[in-house]
Amino acid sequence: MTAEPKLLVIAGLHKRYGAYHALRGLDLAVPMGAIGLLGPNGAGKSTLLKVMLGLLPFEGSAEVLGHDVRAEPRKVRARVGYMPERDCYLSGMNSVEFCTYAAELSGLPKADAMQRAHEVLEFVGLADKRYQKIDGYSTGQKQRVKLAQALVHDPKLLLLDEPTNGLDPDGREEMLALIESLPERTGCAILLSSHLLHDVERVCSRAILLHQGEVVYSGGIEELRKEGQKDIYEVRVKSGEEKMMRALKAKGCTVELDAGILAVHVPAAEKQPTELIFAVAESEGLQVRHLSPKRLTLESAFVRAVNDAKEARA
Amino acid sequence: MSAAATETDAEKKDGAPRGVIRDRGYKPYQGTHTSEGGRWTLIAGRMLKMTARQPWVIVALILSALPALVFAVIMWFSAKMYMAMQGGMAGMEGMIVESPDRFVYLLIAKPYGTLLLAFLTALFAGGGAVADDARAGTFQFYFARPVTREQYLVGKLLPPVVLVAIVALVPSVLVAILRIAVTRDTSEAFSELRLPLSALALGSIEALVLGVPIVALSSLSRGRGYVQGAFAALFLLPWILGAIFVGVTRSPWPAVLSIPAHLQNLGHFLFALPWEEGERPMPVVVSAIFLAALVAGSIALLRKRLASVEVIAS
Repeated sequence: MTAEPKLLVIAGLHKRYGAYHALRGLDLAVPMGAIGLLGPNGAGKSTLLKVMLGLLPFEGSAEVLGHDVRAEPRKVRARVGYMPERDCYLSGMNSVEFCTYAAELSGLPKADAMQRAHEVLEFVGLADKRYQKIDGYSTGQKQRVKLAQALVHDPKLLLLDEPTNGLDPDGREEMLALIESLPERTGCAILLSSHLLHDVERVCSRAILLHQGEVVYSGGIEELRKEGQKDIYEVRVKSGEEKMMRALKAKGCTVELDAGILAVHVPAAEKQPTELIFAVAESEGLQVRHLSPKRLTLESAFVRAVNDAKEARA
Repeated sequence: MSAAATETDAEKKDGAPRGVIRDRGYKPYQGTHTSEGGRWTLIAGRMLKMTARQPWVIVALILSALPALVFAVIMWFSAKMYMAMQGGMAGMEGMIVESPDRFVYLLIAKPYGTLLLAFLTALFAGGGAVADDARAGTFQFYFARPVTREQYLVGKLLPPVVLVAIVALVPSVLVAILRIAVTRDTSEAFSELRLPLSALALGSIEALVLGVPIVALSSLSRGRGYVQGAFAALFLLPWILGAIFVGVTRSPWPAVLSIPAHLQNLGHFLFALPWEEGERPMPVVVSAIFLAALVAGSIALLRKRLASVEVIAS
């Protein structure tokens, strides 16, 4: 029995644009599934996607779906579907023509390409618009056509670049629901590049966080959140929040006060963080009304992972 | 069994009433794949189809039949007179009748032949070849698939070259064949066989020197209007100014940047036509080098531009 190939295996990956070091020694082994690719502008997300598609020379090694990107870039691209952020349709074509052309360019014979185009347009919910010129489509319909052209050759991996860009809330929800259903219904893996953490949280089970060309986290989103919320507690006291905050800060904690609730980040060296909080409250004569681990949003976990990486580097 | 009964059975089987649109789900592709080498034919075919929809290209193609008809008639009468003169017909003593071969050359290389129509065809067929893709963002559509830049380049170059060839080459070759048909005997027919070959050679050169540079220029801008303006300036200005200054200076060198002047120079050589008295052409090798450099430089520029296009924008 052969093991399922990994979605992405890279080792010692460097990419330089002249003096600018875009990717700094990335090492990753990402299993199949729905993966979010996160990072601020300039983090290296686009460069990583280009490397994965075999469009850029690089140092190190990279395999996508078990294929060496450097040796077999066209094989990789034949198995990958890419939904770009920007419009990419050919003016004057309807969506059947466009998707048929896309399938043919990906290697399907003409008759199969046309059949696939019809099937996939039905799948993305554009069956009744398929003979209309794409130029006249709404933003949501254009996004669906972009998804259809990425799916038309039955890829094993879908690269989605900001798929909800420009959509209204309803359209965004519909697109996310469609994307969310893709791994189960099509059997393909997803790599979702987005700066909208909500989208990633909704669709993906794993995430790769990039910051300044380095991987700051790669793993499950729930683990990232748990990792991030470790040592952070929500504390409410009966009265005297300011007093409590000063006392906790004196003990080396980082404290934020928001709407009467203290978010307390206890130093990692502290073995019994809850004991510390109770002890501080008692010494200040304050009554603790609520104490629980703080549930972080993905955004907070992301910020924390980036900050931790910065501290580690410093 | 009646059709109605069959439908009812089908409804029962599916558990869904007729007329309701159902999601047919996603079907994985089980078919074959075409070879990777032929993708340029898809790109060329698609571009040819889109180009042939442009009214100006259709007009140029239709209009190219007019000079062909006029030249065919003139050439036919000229050939008859030439034969009569050669045969020593009474009353034709002392008359100078030019060789009808000349008309095939004139049809290709002169503005009152098909030269201007060929220029217009190149202008409209090639102006948007790459510029339209740059504006619409379709590089990412092509290059995220198993399509190489070389395949894209060939696919984009071919349609304008073929269309210019149809305008410049087909009428002249047909007139050349007509010339063979109106020869007196087999030996003369054999001696005229070089005529369609010369037409083929000059027409092919014209198709290349008009079709390739316009596509190269198209890679420099996102606006086809700018491309067409630049190409018109590059073609017409050196031609017009060159002709004026050649007339004034009686030297051929002011026309050294004129594409038509070089085509005409090469045409005289290929058709073995004498120059008129007082005409001082450039050495034919200069014309050959200029036109070869124009085509080679255009291809080099195209390759360079395509190598640097952004497939995934940051």
